[in-house]
Amino acid sequence: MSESNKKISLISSEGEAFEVSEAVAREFEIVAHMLEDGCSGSSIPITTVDSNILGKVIEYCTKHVEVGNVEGNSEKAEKDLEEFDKRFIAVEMNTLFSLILAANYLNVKGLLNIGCQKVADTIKDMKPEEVRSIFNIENDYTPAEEEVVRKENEWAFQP
Amino acid sequence: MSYLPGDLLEEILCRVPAVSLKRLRSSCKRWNRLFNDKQFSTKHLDKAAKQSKYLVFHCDGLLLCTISSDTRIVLWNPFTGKTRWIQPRSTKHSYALGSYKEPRCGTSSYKILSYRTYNDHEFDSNTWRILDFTSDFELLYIGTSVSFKGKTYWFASDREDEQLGMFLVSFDYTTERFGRLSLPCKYPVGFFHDVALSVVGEEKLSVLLQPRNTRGKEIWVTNKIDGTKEVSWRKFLTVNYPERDYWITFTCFWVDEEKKVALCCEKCMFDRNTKIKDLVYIAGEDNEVKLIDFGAVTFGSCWPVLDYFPSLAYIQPGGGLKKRKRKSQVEAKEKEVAPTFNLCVYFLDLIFAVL
Repeated sequence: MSESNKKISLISSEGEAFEVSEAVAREFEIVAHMLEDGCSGSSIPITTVDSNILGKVIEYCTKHVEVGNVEGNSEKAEKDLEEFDKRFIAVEMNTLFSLILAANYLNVKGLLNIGCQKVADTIKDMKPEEVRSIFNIENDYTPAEEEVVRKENEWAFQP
Repeated sequence: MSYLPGDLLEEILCRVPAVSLKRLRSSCKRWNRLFNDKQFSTKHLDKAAKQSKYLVFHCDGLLLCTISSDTRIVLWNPFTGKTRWIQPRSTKHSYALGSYKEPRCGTSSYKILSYRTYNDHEFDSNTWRILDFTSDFELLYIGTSVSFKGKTYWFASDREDEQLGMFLVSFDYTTERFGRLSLPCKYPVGFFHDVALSVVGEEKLSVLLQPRNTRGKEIWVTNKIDGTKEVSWRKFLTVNYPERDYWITFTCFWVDEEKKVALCCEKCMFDRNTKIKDLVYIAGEDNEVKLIDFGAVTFGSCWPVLDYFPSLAYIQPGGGLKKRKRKSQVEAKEKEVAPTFNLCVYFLDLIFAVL
Protein backbone atom coordinates (compact mmCIF):
# COMPACT_ATOMS: atom_id res chain seq x y z
CA MET A 1 0.00 0.00 0.00
CA SER A 2 1.46 3.33 -0.98
CA GLU A 3 1.91 5.83 1.80
CA SER A 4 -0.65 8.31 0.50
CA ASN A 5 -3.38 5.66 0.58
CA LYS A 6 -2.61 4.53 4.08
CA LYS A 7 -5.57 4.94 6.40
CA ILE A 8 -5.41 5.89 10.02
CA SER A 9 -8.20 5.73 12.59
CA LEU A 10 -8.59 8.62 14.99
CA ILE A 11 -10.59 7.65 18.05
CA SER A 12 -12.71 10.35 19.75
CA SER A 13 -13.26 10.66 23.49
CA GLU A 14 -16.49 8.67 23.08
CA GLY A 15 -14.56 5.87 21.38
CA GLU A 16 -15.88 6.58 17.90
CA ALA A 17 -13.38 5.84 15.12
CA PHE A 18 -12.80 8.27 12.25
CA GLU A 19 -10.91 6.78 9.35
CA VAL A 20 -8.76 9.32 7.52
CA SER A 21 -5.89 9.24 5.06
CA GLU A 22 -2.44 9.61 6.53
CA ALA A 23 -2.04 12.97 4.77
CA VAL A 24 -5.05 14.33 6.63
CA ALA A 25 -3.95 12.83 9.94
CA ARG A 26 -0.56 14.45 9.49
CA GLU A 27 -2.28 17.86 9.48
CA PHE A 28 -2.66 17.20 13.20
CA GLU A 29 0.89 17.98 14.17
CA ILE A 30 0.53 15.91 17.29
CA VAL A 31 -0.30 12.88 15.14
CA ALA A 32 2.50 13.70 12.70
CA HIS A 33 4.95 13.65 15.59
CA MET A 34 3.60 10.36 16.86
CA LEU A 35 4.02 8.82 13.41
CA GLU A 36 7.55 10.18 13.13
CA ASP A 37 8.37 8.81 16.54
CA GLY A 38 7.64 5.38 15.17
CA CYS A 39 4.13 4.96 16.47
CA SER A 40 3.04 2.45 13.90
CA GLY A 41 -0.43 1.64 15.14
CA SER A 42 -3.22 2.37 12.72
CA SER A 43 -5.54 3.82 15.35
CA ILE A 44 -4.71 6.82 17.48
CA PRO A 45 -6.81 7.83 20.48
CA ILE A 46 -7.67 11.52 20.76
CA THR A 47 -9.06 11.30 24.25
CA THR A 48 -9.70 14.98 24.91
CA VAL A 49 -11.80 15.70 21.81
CA ASP A 50 -15.38 14.55 21.36
CA SER A 51 -16.83 13.11 18.16
CA ASN A 52 -18.64 16.26 17.10
CA ILE A 53 -15.53 18.44 17.30
CA LEU A 54 -13.14 15.77 16.01
CA GLY A 55 -15.40 15.35 12.97
CA LYS A 56 -15.23 19.06 12.34
CA VAL A 57 -11.46 19.26 12.70
CA ILE A 58 -11.11 16.37 10.26
CA GLU A 59 -13.42 18.16 7.83
CA TYR A 60 -11.19 21.24 8.07
CA CYS A 61 -7.97 19.29 7.55
CA THR A 62 -9.41 17.21 4.70
CA LYS A 63 -10.41 20.34 2.80
CA HIS A 64 -7.02 21.94 3.33
CA VAL A 65 -5.17 18.82 2.22
CA GLU A 66 -7.41 18.53 -0.86
CA VAL A 67 -6.82 22.12 -1.92
CA GLY A 68 -3.12 21.83 -1.15
CA ASN A 69 -2.89 18.93 -3.62
CA VAL A 70 -4.51 20.74 -6.52
CA GLU A 71 -1.93 22.24 -8.84
CA GLY A 72 -2.38 25.37 -10.90
CA ASN A 73 -5.18 27.92 -10.62
CA SER A 74 -3.86 28.63 -7.15
CA GLU A 75 -5.50 32.02 -6.84
CA LYS A 76 -8.98 30.62 -7.25
CA ALA A 77 -8.19 27.72 -4.95
CA GLU A 78 -6.97 30.11 -2.29
CA LYS A 79 -10.12 32.14 -2.56
CA ASP A 80 -12.26 29.03 -2.26
CA LEU A 81 -10.33 28.00 0.79
CA GLU A 82 -10.83 31.41 2.34
CA GLU A 83 -14.56 31.07 1.73
CA PHE A 84 -14.53 27.61 3.23
CA ASP A 85 -12.70 28.88 6.33
CA LYS A 86 -15.20 31.68 6.72
CA ARG A 87 -18.17 29.32 6.58
CA PHE A 88 -16.43 26.74 8.71
CA ILE A 89 -15.79 29.16 11.53
CA ALA A 90 -19.27 30.72 11.52
CA VAL A 91 -20.43 28.72 14.56
CA GLU A 92 -21.71 29.67 17.98
CA MET A 93 -19.19 30.65 20.64
CA ASN A 94 -19.18 27.38 22.61
CA THR A 95 -18.36 25.34 19.52
CA LEU A 96 -15.75 27.89 18.55
CA PHE A 97 -14.05 27.54 21.92
CA SER A 98 -14.11 23.74 21.63
CA LEU A 99 -12.58 24.01 18.16
CA ILE A 100 -9.84 26.29 19.48
CA LEU A 101 -9.10 23.92 22.36
CA ALA A 102 -8.98 20.96 19.97
CA ALA A 103 -6.85 22.81 17.42
CA ASN A 104 -4.47 23.77 20.20
CA TYR A 105 -4.24 20.24 21.56
CA LEU A 106 -3.90 18.60 18.15
CA ASN A 107 -1.65 21.43 17.00
CA VAL A 108 -3.54 22.36 13.85
CA LYS A 109 -2.06 25.82 13.40
CA GLY A 110 -4.30 27.10 10.61
CA LEU A 111 -7.47 26.25 12.52
CA LEU A 112 -6.11 27.73 15.75
CA ASN A 113 -5.34 30.90 13.87
CA ILE A 114 -8.75 31.38 12.24
CA GLY A 115 -10.52 30.34 15.45
CA CYS A 116 -8.70 32.88 17.61
CA GLN A 117 -9.12 35.55 14.94
CA LYS A 118 -12.86 34.90 14.84
CA VAL A 119 -13.19 35.31 18.61
CA ALA A 120 -11.02 38.45 18.51
CA ASP A 121 -13.25 39.92 15.79
CA THR A 122 -16.34 39.08 17.80
CA ILE A 123 -15.21 40.64 21.07
CA LYS A 124 -13.52 43.72 19.70
CA ASP A 125 -16.67 45.82 19.77
CA MET A 126 -18.07 44.40 23.01
CA LYS A 127 -18.28 45.94 26.44
CA PRO A 128 -16.05 44.56 29.22
CA GLU A 129 -19.14 43.12 30.96
CA GLU A 130 -20.14 41.13 27.88
CA VAL A 131 -16.61 39.87 27.39
CA ARG A 132 -16.42 38.75 31.02
CA SER A 133 -19.52 36.62 30.61
CA ILE A 134 -18.24 35.10 27.36
CA PHE A 135 -14.93 34.04 28.85
CA ASN A 136 -16.31 33.25 32.28
CA ILE A 137 -13.92 35.77 33.81
CA GLU A 138 -14.45 37.01 37.31
CA ASN A 139 -14.29 40.76 37.73
CA ASP A 140 -11.49 40.99 40.29
CA TYR A 141 -11.52 44.78 40.50
CA THR A 142 -13.08 46.61 43.39
CA PRO A 143 -15.61 49.15 42.07
CA ALA A 144 -13.14 51.94 42.89
CA GLU A 145 -10.28 50.25 41.06
CA GLU A 146 -12.48 49.54 38.07
CA GLU A 147 -13.48 53.17 37.95
CA VAL A 148 -9.81 54.21 37.81
CA VAL A 149 -9.02 51.87 34.92
CA ARG A 150 -12.17 52.94 33.11
CA LYS A 151 -11.27 56.58 33.55
CA GLU A 152 -7.80 55.96 32.17
CA ASN A 153 -9.31 54.40 29.10
CA GLU A 154 -12.27 56.65 28.79
CA TRP A 155 -11.53 57.80 25.30
CA ALA A 156 -11.63 54.21 24.15
CA PHE A 157 -15.27 53.79 25.12
CA GLN A 158 -17.48 54.43 22.19
CA PRO A 159 -21.22 54.21 21.64
CA MET B 1 -19.85 29.65 29.12
CA SER B 2 -16.69 27.78 28.26
CA TYR B 3 -13.40 28.16 29.91
CA LEU B 4 -10.23 28.75 27.93
CA PRO B 5 -6.78 28.44 29.52
CA GLY B 6 -4.69 31.60 29.84
CA ASP B 7 -2.35 30.94 26.95
CA LEU B 8 -5.27 30.52 24.56
CA LEU B 9 -6.91 33.68 25.90
CA GLU B 10 -3.71 35.55 25.10
CA GLU B 11 -3.69 33.94 21.69
CA ILE B 12 -7.09 35.56 21.13
CA LEU B 13 -6.33 38.90 22.75
CA CYS B 14 -3.19 39.41 20.71
CA ARG B 15 -5.49 39.49 17.69
CA VAL B 16 -7.78 42.19 19.09
CA PRO B 17 -6.90 45.63 17.67
CA ALA B 18 -5.15 47.94 20.13
CA VAL B 19 -7.93 50.49 20.49
CA SER B 20 -10.49 47.80 21.37
CA LEU B 21 -8.06 46.06 23.67
CA LYS B 22 -7.49 49.22 25.63
CA ARG B 23 -11.21 49.41 26.29
CA LEU B 24 -11.28 45.76 27.41
CA ARG B 25 -8.55 46.31 29.98
CA SER B 26 -11.14 46.82 32.65
CA SER B 27 -12.46 43.27 32.22
CA CYS B 28 -10.05 41.91 34.83
CA LYS B 29 -6.66 42.63 36.36
CA ARG B 30 -4.86 40.02 34.33
CA TRP B 31 -5.95 41.62 31.07
CA ASN B 32 -4.92 45.00 32.37
CA ARG B 33 -1.44 43.69 33.15
CA LEU B 34 -1.05 42.49 29.56
CA PHE B 35 -0.61 46.11 28.61
CA ASN B 36 2.75 46.22 30.31
CA ASP B 37 3.81 42.79 29.20
CA LYS B 38 6.63 43.00 26.70
CA GLN B 39 6.15 39.51 25.39
CA PHE B 40 2.47 40.09 24.84
CA SER B 41 3.03 43.41 23.14
CA THR B 42 5.48 41.83 20.72
CA LYS B 43 2.98 39.13 19.92
CA HIS B 44 0.24 41.72 19.56
CA LEU B 45 2.31 43.82 17.18
CA ASP B 46 2.83 40.74 15.10
CA LYS B 47 -0.73 39.45 14.96
CA ALA B 48 -3.29 42.20 15.51
CA ALA B 49 -4.75 44.26 12.72
CA LYS B 50 -3.09 47.66 12.78
CA GLN B 51 -5.79 50.12 13.65
CA SER B 52 -3.28 52.88 13.93
CA LYS B 53 -2.48 52.96 10.27
CA TYR B 54 -3.11 56.57 9.52
CA LEU B 55 -2.29 58.16 6.26
CA VAL B 56 -1.88 61.82 6.74
CA PHE B 57 -2.07 64.68 4.34
CA HIS B 58 -1.65 68.15 5.69
CA CYS B 59 -1.97 71.78 4.78
CA ASP B 60 -2.05 75.00 6.80
CA GLY B 61 -1.76 73.13 10.09
CA LEU B 62 -4.72 70.90 9.27
CA LEU B 63 -4.23 67.17 9.06
CA LEU B 64 -6.38 65.05 6.81
CA CYS B 65 -6.20 61.47 8.00
CA THR B 66 -7.45 58.24 6.54
CA ILE B 67 -7.71 55.44 9.04
CA SER B 68 -7.66 51.83 8.01
CA SER B 69 -10.20 50.80 10.65
CA ASP B 70 -12.74 53.43 9.64
CA THR B 71 -14.28 54.09 6.27
CA ARG B 72 -14.47 57.78 7.05
CA ILE B 73 -11.73 60.34 6.83
CA VAL B 74 -11.08 62.93 9.48
CA LEU B 75 -9.89 66.49 9.24
CA TRP B 76 -8.07 67.52 12.38
CA ASN B 77 -6.50 70.65 13.67
CA PRO B 78 -4.29 69.32 16.48
CA PHE B 79 -3.67 72.82 17.76
CA THR B 80 -7.29 73.82 18.28
CA GLY B 81 -8.40 70.24 18.85
CA LYS B 82 -11.25 70.54 16.34
CA THR B 83 -12.13 67.63 14.11
CA ARG B 84 -14.56 66.95 11.34
CA TRP B 85 -15.46 63.52 10.04
CA ILE B 86 -16.22 63.09 6.39
CA GLN B 87 -17.81 60.19 4.58
CA PRO B 88 -15.73 59.44 1.51
CA ARG B 89 -17.22 58.22 -1.72
CA SER B 90 -14.89 55.28 -1.90
CA THR B 91 -12.41 53.77 0.50
CA LYS B 92 -9.96 53.09 -2.29
CA HIS B 93 -9.09 56.71 -3.04
CA SER B 94 -6.26 58.92 -1.98
CA TYR B 95 -6.94 62.38 -0.67
CA ALA B 96 -5.36 65.78 -0.81
CA LEU B 97 -6.34 68.90 1.06
CA GLY B 98 -5.97 72.46 -0.13
CA SER B 99 -7.14 75.95 0.61
CA TYR B 100 -8.92 78.51 -1.52
CA LYS B 101 -10.08 82.02 -0.86
CA GLU B 102 -13.82 82.57 -0.59
CA PRO B 103 -14.57 84.98 -3.43
CA ARG B 104 -17.07 87.01 -1.40
CA CYS B 105 -15.40 87.48 1.96
CA GLY B 106 -11.78 86.57 1.27
CA THR B 107 -11.57 84.02 4.10
CA SER B 108 -9.75 80.74 3.64
CA SER B 109 -11.80 77.63 3.12
CA TYR B 110 -10.67 74.12 2.39
CA LYS B 111 -11.47 71.47 -0.15
CA ILE B 112 -10.58 67.83 -0.21
CA LEU B 113 -9.55 66.34 -3.50
CA SER B 114 -10.30 62.66 -3.78
CA TYR B 115 -8.00 61.62 -6.53
CA ARG B 116 -8.11 58.69 -8.80
CA THR B 117 -11.48 59.86 -9.94
CA TYR B 118 -11.15 63.51 -8.96
CA ASN B 119 -14.12 64.12 -6.75
CA ASP B 120 -13.95 67.40 -5.02
CA HIS B 121 -15.35 67.89 -1.57
CA GLU B 122 -16.36 71.31 -0.36
CA PHE B 123 -17.09 71.68 3.30
CA ASP B 124 -20.14 73.84 2.96
CA SER B 125 -22.15 71.49 0.88
CA ASN B 126 -20.97 68.25 2.48
CA THR B 127 -21.34 66.47 -0.81
CA TRP B 128 -18.83 65.15 -3.29
CA ARG B 129 -18.78 66.80 -6.64
CA ILE B 130 -17.23 65.11 -9.65
CA LEU B 131 -14.77 67.29 -11.52
CA ASP B 132 -15.31 67.42 -15.22
CA PHE B 133 -11.81 66.45 -16.14
CA THR B 134 -9.91 63.85 -18.12
CA SER B 135 -6.34 63.49 -16.97
CA ASP B 136 -3.56 63.39 -19.52
CA PHE B 137 -1.01 62.42 -16.89
CA GLU B 138 -0.27 59.63 -14.43
CA LEU B 139 0.49 60.59 -10.86
CA LEU B 140 3.68 59.03 -9.51
CA TYR B 141 4.84 58.46 -5.92
CA ILE B 142 1.53 59.80 -4.59
CA GLY B 143 2.66 59.35 -0.99
CA THR B 144 4.92 62.34 -1.33
CA SER B 145 2.46 65.00 -2.51
CA VAL B 146 2.40 68.39 -0.75
CA SER B 147 -0.04 71.28 -0.44
CA PHE B 148 0.59 74.97 0.04
CA LYS B 149 -0.77 78.29 -1.12
CA GLY B 150 -3.93 76.79 -2.52
CA LYS B 151 -2.30 74.10 -4.63
CA THR B 152 -1.33 70.47 -4.25
CA TYR B 153 1.74 69.15 -6.07
CA TRP B 154 2.57 65.61 -7.19
CA PHE B 155 5.21 63.94 -9.32
CA ALA B 156 3.71 62.84 -12.62
CA SER B 157 4.39 61.60 -16.13
CA ASP B 158 2.53 62.09 -19.38
CA ARG B 159 0.01 59.45 -20.27
CA GLU B 160 0.72 59.57 -24.00
CA ASP B 161 4.23 60.88 -24.49
CA GLU B 162 6.86 59.07 -22.47
CA GLN B 163 9.53 61.37 -23.89
CA LEU B 164 8.30 64.16 -21.66
CA GLY B 165 9.74 62.31 -18.67
CA MET B 166 8.90 63.28 -15.13
CA PHE B 167 7.40 66.61 -14.11
CA LEU B 168 5.25 68.05 -11.36
CA VAL B 169 1.50 68.43 -11.60
CA SER B 170 -0.40 70.93 -9.47
CA PHE B 171 -4.06 71.26 -8.66
CA ASP B 172 -5.40 74.74 -8.04
CA TYR B 173 -8.23 74.60 -5.50
CA THR B 174 -9.65 77.95 -6.59
CA THR B 175 -9.85 77.39 -10.34
CA GLU B 176 -10.09 73.60 -9.96
CA ARG B 177 -7.63 73.13 -12.78
CA PHE B 178 -4.46 71.08 -13.09
CA GLY B 179 -1.17 72.58 -14.24
CA ARG B 180 2.31 71.28 -15.03
CA LEU B 181 5.64 72.37 -13.64
CA SER B 182 9.11 71.30 -14.77
CA LEU B 183 11.64 69.63 -12.51
CA PRO B 184 15.22 71.02 -12.33
CA CYS B 185 16.23 68.90 -15.33
CA LYS B 186 14.54 66.49 -17.68
CA TYR B 187 14.49 63.01 -16.18
CA PRO B 188 13.01 59.85 -17.69
CA VAL B 189 10.34 58.03 -15.70
CA GLY B 190 11.91 55.45 -13.42
CA PHE B 191 15.22 57.29 -13.35
CA PHE B 192 15.15 57.72 -9.59
CA HIS B 193 15.69 55.39 -6.68
CA ASP B 194 14.04 57.81 -4.29
CA VAL B 195 12.07 61.04 -4.72
CA ALA B 196 10.26 63.33 -2.29
CA LEU B 197 8.54 66.70 -2.14
CA SER B 198 8.59 69.26 0.63
CA VAL B 199 7.53 72.84 1.26
CA VAL B 200 9.98 75.52 2.35
CA GLY B 201 8.65 78.31 4.53
CA GLU B 202 5.17 78.03 3.01
CA GLU B 203 6.37 79.80 -0.10
CA LYS B 204 8.77 77.54 -1.98
CA LEU B 205 8.77 73.98 -3.21
CA SER B 206 11.60 71.57 -2.68
CA VAL B 207 12.34 68.20 -4.28
CA LEU B 208 14.67 65.43 -3.23
CA LEU B 209 15.96 63.32 -6.10
CA GLN B 210 18.19 60.31 -5.90
CA PRO B 211 19.06 58.75 -9.25
CA ARG B 212 19.35 54.95 -9.40
CA ASN B 213 22.78 53.48 -8.72
CA THR B 214 23.93 56.52 -6.78
CA ARG B 215 23.93 57.29 -3.09
CA GLY B 216 23.60 61.04 -3.40
CA LYS B 217 20.23 62.66 -2.75
CA GLU B 218 20.01 66.01 -4.46
CA ILE B 219 17.80 68.57 -2.79
CA TRP B 220 16.55 71.40 -4.99
CA VAL B 221 14.54 74.46 -3.94
CA THR B 222 12.43 76.79 -6.13
CA ASN B 223 12.16 80.54 -5.99
CA LYS B 224 9.11 81.97 -4.28
CA ILE B 225 6.00 80.61 -5.93
CA ASP B 226 3.49 83.42 -6.13
CA GLY B 227 2.02 82.92 -9.57
CA THR B 228 3.69 85.98 -11.07
CA LYS B 229 7.18 84.73 -11.94
CA GLU B 230 8.35 81.64 -13.75
CA VAL B 231 9.40 78.90 -11.35
CA SER B 232 13.15 78.25 -11.26
CA TRP B 233 15.22 75.68 -9.33
CA ARG B 234 18.41 76.04 -7.31
CA LYS B 235 20.42 73.12 -5.94
CA PHE B 236 20.38 73.37 -2.19
CA LEU B 237 22.35 70.36 -0.95
CA THR B 238 23.52 66.90 -1.90
CA VAL B 239 23.17 64.38 0.88
CA ASN B 240 25.45 61.36 0.72
CA TYR B 241 23.96 59.26 3.43
CA PRO B 242 23.78 56.41 4.40
CA GLU B 243 27.11 55.39 2.97
CA ARG B 244 26.14 51.94 1.88
CA ASP B 245 24.03 50.40 -0.81
CA TYR B 246 20.47 49.69 0.00
CA TRP B 247 17.66 47.94 -1.64
CA ILE B 248 14.67 50.13 -0.85
CA THR B 249 14.57 53.63 0.52
CA PHE B 250 11.82 56.18 1.16
CA THR B 251 12.77 59.56 2.45
CA CYS B 252 10.78 62.50 3.65
CA PHE B 253 12.61 65.69 4.36
CA TRP B 254 12.36 69.22 5.60
CA VAL B 255 14.59 72.10 4.63
CA ASP B 256 15.81 74.98 6.77
CA GLU B 257 17.14 77.38 4.19
CA GLU B 258 18.66 79.77 6.65
CA LYS B 259 20.66 77.18 8.54
CA LYS B 260 21.45 75.38 5.28
CA VAL B 261 20.39 72.02 6.67
CA ALA B 262 17.91 69.35 5.70
CA LEU B 263 16.20 67.06 8.15
CA CYS B 264 15.68 63.65 6.60
CA CYS B 265 13.59 60.75 7.86
CA GLU B 266 14.43 57.73 5.86
CA LYS B 267 12.97 54.26 5.82
CA CYS B 268 15.41 51.86 4.29
CA MET B 269 16.02 48.20 3.81
CA PHE B 270 19.59 47.28 3.10
CA ASP B 271 18.68 43.98 1.57
CA ARG B 272 15.82 41.56 1.29
CA ASN B 273 16.57 39.94 4.63
CA THR B 274 16.83 42.94 6.92
CA LYS B 275 13.95 44.73 8.57
CA ILE B 276 12.95 48.23 7.62
CA LYS B 277 15.10 50.71 9.50
CA ASP B 278 14.12 54.26 10.31
CA LEU B 279 16.99 56.70 10.04
CA VAL B 280 16.60 60.29 11.15
CA TYR B 281 19.43 62.67 10.42
CA ILE B 282 20.29 66.28 9.80
CA ALA B 283 22.36 66.83 6.70
CA GLY B 284 24.36 69.99 6.19
CA GLU B 285 26.85 71.30 3.69
CA ASP B 286 30.11 69.48 2.96
CA ASN B 287 28.49 66.10 3.57
CA GLU B 288 28.14 66.73 7.25
CA VAL B 289 25.52 64.36 8.66
CA LYS B 290 24.30 64.20 12.23
CA LEU B 291 22.38 61.06 13.01
CA ILE B 292 19.61 61.44 15.57
CA ASP B 293 19.21 58.50 17.87
CA PHE B 294 15.58 57.62 18.43
CA GLY B 295 16.43 54.52 20.38
CA ALA B 296 13.99 51.74 19.80
CA VAL B 297 11.26 54.09 18.61
CA THR B 298 10.23 53.58 15.01
CA PHE B 299 7.69 55.27 12.83
CA GLY B 300 6.07 51.93 12.10
CA SER B 301 3.90 52.19 9.06
CA CYS B 302 3.38 55.91 9.65
CA TRP B 303 5.18 58.76 8.04
CA PRO B 304 6.32 61.62 10.18
CA VAL B 305 4.89 64.97 9.21
CA LEU B 306 7.88 67.26 9.09
CA ASP B 307 6.63 70.57 7.78
CA TYR B 308 3.62 70.84 10.06
CA PHE B 309 3.10 74.11 11.88
CA PRO B 310 0.42 74.85 14.44
CA SER B 311 -2.32 77.07 13.07
CA LEU B 312 -5.78 78.26 13.94
CA ALA B 313 -7.09 77.14 10.55
CA TYR B 314 -10.82 76.89 11.02
CA ILE B 315 -12.71 73.71 10.34
CA GLN B 316 -16.24 74.43 9.30
CA PRO B 317 -18.50 72.25 11.44
CA GLY B 318 -20.38 69.71 9.40
CA GLY B 319 -23.79 68.18 9.45
CA GLY B 320 -26.28 71.08 9.24
CA LEU B 321 -29.65 69.82 10.42
CA LYS B 322 -28.40 66.43 11.47
CA LYS B 323 -25.73 67.96 13.63
CA ARG B 324 -27.38 67.39 16.98
CA LYS B 325 -27.92 63.75 16.40
CA ARG B 326 -24.40 63.14 15.26
CA LYS B 327 -22.69 65.07 17.96
CA SER B 328 -22.21 62.28 20.47
CA GLN B 329 -20.74 60.01 17.86
CA VAL B 330 -18.31 62.61 16.67
CA GLU B 331 -17.14 63.33 20.19
CA ALA B 332 -16.53 59.69 20.91
CA LYS B 333 -14.55 59.29 17.75
CA GLU B 334 -12.49 62.36 18.48
CA LYS B 335 -11.44 60.81 21.72
CA GLU B 336 -10.57 57.67 19.95
CA VAL B 337 -8.24 59.34 17.52
CA ALA B 338 -6.49 62.13 19.28
CA PRO B 339 -4.24 60.24 21.71
CA THR B 340 -2.63 58.25 18.93
CA PHE B 341 -1.74 61.36 17.04
CA ASN B 342 -0.06 62.86 20.06
CA LEU B 343 2.85 60.61 19.41
CA CYS B 344 3.43 62.22 16.04
CA VAL B 345 3.39 65.67 17.56
CA TYR B 346 5.82 64.54 20.20
CA PHE B 347 8.19 63.36 17.51
CA LEU B 348 8.13 66.77 15.94
CA ASP B 349 8.88 68.58 19.15
CA LEU B 350 11.81 66.34 19.64
CA ILE B 351 13.20 66.99 16.21
CA PHE B 352 12.87 70.72 16.56
CA ALA B 353 14.53 70.57 19.92
CA VAL B 354 17.49 68.81 18.35
CA LEU B 355 17.69 71.29 15.53
